Amino acid sequence: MSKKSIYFNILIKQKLETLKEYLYLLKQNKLTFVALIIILFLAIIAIIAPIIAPFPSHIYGDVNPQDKLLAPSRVYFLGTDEMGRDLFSRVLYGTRISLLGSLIAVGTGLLIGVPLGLMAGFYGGFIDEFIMRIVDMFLSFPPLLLAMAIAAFLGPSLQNAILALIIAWWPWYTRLIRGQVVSIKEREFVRAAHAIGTPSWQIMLKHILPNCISPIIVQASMDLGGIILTLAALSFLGLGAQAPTPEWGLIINTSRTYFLKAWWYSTFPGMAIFITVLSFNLLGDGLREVLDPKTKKY
Amino acid sequence: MSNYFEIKDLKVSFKTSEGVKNVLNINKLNLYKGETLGIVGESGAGKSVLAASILRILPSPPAFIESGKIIFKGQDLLLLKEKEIQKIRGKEISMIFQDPMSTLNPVFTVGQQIMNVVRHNRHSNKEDAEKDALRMIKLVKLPDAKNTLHKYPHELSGGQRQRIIIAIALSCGAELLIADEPTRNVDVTIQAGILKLIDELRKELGISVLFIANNVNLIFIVSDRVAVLYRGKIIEVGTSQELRVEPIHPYTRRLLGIVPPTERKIKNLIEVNLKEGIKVDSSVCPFFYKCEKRIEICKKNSPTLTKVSNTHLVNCHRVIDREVDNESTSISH
Amino acid sequence: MNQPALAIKNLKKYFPVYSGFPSRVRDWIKAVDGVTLNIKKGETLGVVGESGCGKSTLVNTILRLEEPTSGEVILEGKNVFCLNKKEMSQLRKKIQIVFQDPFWSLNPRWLIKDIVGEPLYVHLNLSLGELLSKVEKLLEMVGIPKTALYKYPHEFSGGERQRIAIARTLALEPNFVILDEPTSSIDIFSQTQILELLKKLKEEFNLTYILISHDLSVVKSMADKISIMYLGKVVEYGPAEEVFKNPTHPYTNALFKAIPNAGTKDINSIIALEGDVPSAINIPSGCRFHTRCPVALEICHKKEPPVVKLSKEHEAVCFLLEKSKKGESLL
Repeated sequence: MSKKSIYFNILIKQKLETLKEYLYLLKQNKLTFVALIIILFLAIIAIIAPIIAPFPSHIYGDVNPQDKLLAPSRVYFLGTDEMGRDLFSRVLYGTRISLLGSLIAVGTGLLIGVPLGLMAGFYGGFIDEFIMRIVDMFLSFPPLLLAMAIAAFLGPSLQNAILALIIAWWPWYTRLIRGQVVSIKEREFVRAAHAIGTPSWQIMLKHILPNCISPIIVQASMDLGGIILTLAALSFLGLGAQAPTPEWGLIINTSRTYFLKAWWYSTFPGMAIFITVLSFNLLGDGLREVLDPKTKKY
Repeated sequence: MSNYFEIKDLKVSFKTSEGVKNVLNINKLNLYKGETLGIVGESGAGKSVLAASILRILPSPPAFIESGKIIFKGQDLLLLKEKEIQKIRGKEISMIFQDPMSTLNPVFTVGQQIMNVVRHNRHSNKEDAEKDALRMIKLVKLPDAKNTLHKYPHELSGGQRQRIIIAIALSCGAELLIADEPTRNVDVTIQAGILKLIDELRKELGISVLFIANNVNLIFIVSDRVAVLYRGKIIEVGTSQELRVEPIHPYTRRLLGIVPPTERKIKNLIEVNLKEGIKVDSSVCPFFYKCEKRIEICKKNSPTLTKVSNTHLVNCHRVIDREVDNESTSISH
Repeated sequence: MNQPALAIKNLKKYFPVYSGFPSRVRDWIKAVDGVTLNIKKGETLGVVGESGCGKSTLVNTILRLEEPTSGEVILEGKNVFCLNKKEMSQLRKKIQIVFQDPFWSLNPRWLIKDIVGEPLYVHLNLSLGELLSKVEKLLEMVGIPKTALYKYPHEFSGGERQRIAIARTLALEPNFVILDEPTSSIDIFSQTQILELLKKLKEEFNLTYILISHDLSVVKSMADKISIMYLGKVVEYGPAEEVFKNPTHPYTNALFKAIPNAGTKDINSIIALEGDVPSAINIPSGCRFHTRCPVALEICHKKEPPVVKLSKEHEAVCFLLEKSKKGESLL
């Protein structure tokens, strides 16, 4: 066997080992494990929503006035809204919107925030000052106001709400990672890399980043929940998703008028938000426990 | 003279994710009134655990005292309730640590810190406490005592801070001072001053000292008697003179720089036993894996401290068999 | 050719202390304040000094991990500080460093093969197979088995990690290796092994070492020449044997007498120095050691002492020694 194949074999074996270890640790914390299962379940729903929804046409358009505001039944599992649309199908599809939306928001936030934080922490001096002052500036905008401003400029929509959240969120990652980088870059293995002649970008990416990724992972998983909540809130206020998008917050907003008549209308989307956000929070907490003792080992 | 301070069958262990790890296993250790007993060992040998166990300040969990007795002036310290041991801390037994900066509170002046301790332990009023503080600062030979009282820790140098720590430790009349590597983080030229100070104070105040360090030459010049700690066990104990002139245990000899000629053999041994640190197998001599003089019986059971003279004891099978420096058959691995 | 392999000429490194708003430079920390040293090929220079003497900064500056304030470092005929990025990258292959802390000098999240292979990866264009072979050979040189390639640093003891660090250091076949307290943080068994290994490698590859250590027994066993540093300057320099036998500078004398060794009889044999090391911001006038020197003269307060040659290669920076040459009594 060539050295290369030996190498790959061992590498794959090791990755599997690490995966097994992580799963084992996660399993130890039962709540986290349940949270993880729920999230996976939600992810699957998000992907197959249009397929399993009993009334796919109700998701966006079709109005069905004769079946309006019906209580949950065998036909309409969660009841209908004031347009006669199946609430179950809409809430199901809302999963896709919320999860996708938060993934995009958090993902983009990380894409912007992490490199900036890396550079600020690594280079220090003027670059650090410059980036951090911008971070301070952005952190002073309450997400709500930001969303309102963008809505005023570009018109309210789900996309613009996500945009507002990206702008409001990325600075947190920059700040978080910069602190880590500043302490890690003093470590001797970084000095060793400098002494070897490793180019700075390689040091940042391969040496420093892997060592400060844990808090980011924890924060990001909790943020996935947080963004969903904030998106829902923005939609609730009319600044985000617009009718007929079946976004959970928007559904709750419309349900307000029928609150006393149709309890199911606001309850189920509300529960959906609750379960989703709670799961992400628990996952984040569990990950923190998993990742921290592991870091202690090092 | 005997039973002033005695440790008997002390077993301390840690609960880790990999099981229970025994870190200290001391059969018998005496400290006589008025002497300086030195404990020498490398990092991880259990020195700080020993010191912390005496004053019951081990972090537990994960540490816990499995069994044993620590008898001080007739009382078993391990049986005392928290309130009772509080009375001993600072007043009868005191401790100083390695890092003077983290032991001192940066927010209070050093004078206040001495006074706080005095007022807490002696219930004195402010004026008396201040007088005591002044007296202590002079006792540790810090110049310009009156002004030093009002200085903050960061305004003092490392050596000065360490002196303040000593002042605090002795401010309430403690008669046993535990010094846990007090000069480790201090420059060598300053270290000499601190060591001399401790020695002078010992004579002046008539206290006993338990001095812990990882440098054997240091231990010899400050201690009357020395106990060598290896992986939680005392492997040799005797007067400074005895250990310096006639070190018997291979580990003690190693610490003194006496390196066996068969160095290469040991290299291979260490590689084979990569994970040996996890559980200490009590049926094997703790030094087995690194010993160049081991024989068959060393693998089967752990030796006990054997007398070589009235004051000199060694934990080694070859002493028991009276084959101290012969070329007996060493088993290869 | 009697040109030194590494020449340090009047090297200075000052760190600015900012204060006020907007930030202005208020003071300078004179970490290295004019160090001149010459190291011959194949020599081991021991650098001894307490904390704050500038030895870490000296090392960082020689490696150009810090830009100097002034002075030159001539390595194989070239001034290190005049090289551009590309040339500097080439030069880095020639001079490497082994750090004190075997725990943190290896990236805990990297496999050993990546850690030791990094210099090869950065500088050479080897195929994966070639790289792996080279890494295996390097580990073999330091006595680490091949199976280590796919393990992580935390799976090894301190002594083994230090050996892995040495393997990494040798990857690019340097001529100079700086050893920054290589044995301070490891157990006593590994210490002997590491020193033996370093000696063996030095002979095999004709290396030149700069050894920083506060452990005099280590310095004694390895160094050909030693230089004693105090507050950013070299106060004594000479062949190790000579300096140990006859420490001439009052600081060297005090330093050696303060460290307990096998021969120290009792506590009265160690010497304590009065006062503390002055801050590097407010360096004392004249001879920087005069504030703590037990034999300081009037002139030591006022003027900086000259370099006095005591023998062909032994020199010290002290007024007293100058006087002694004129026949007056010393210490």
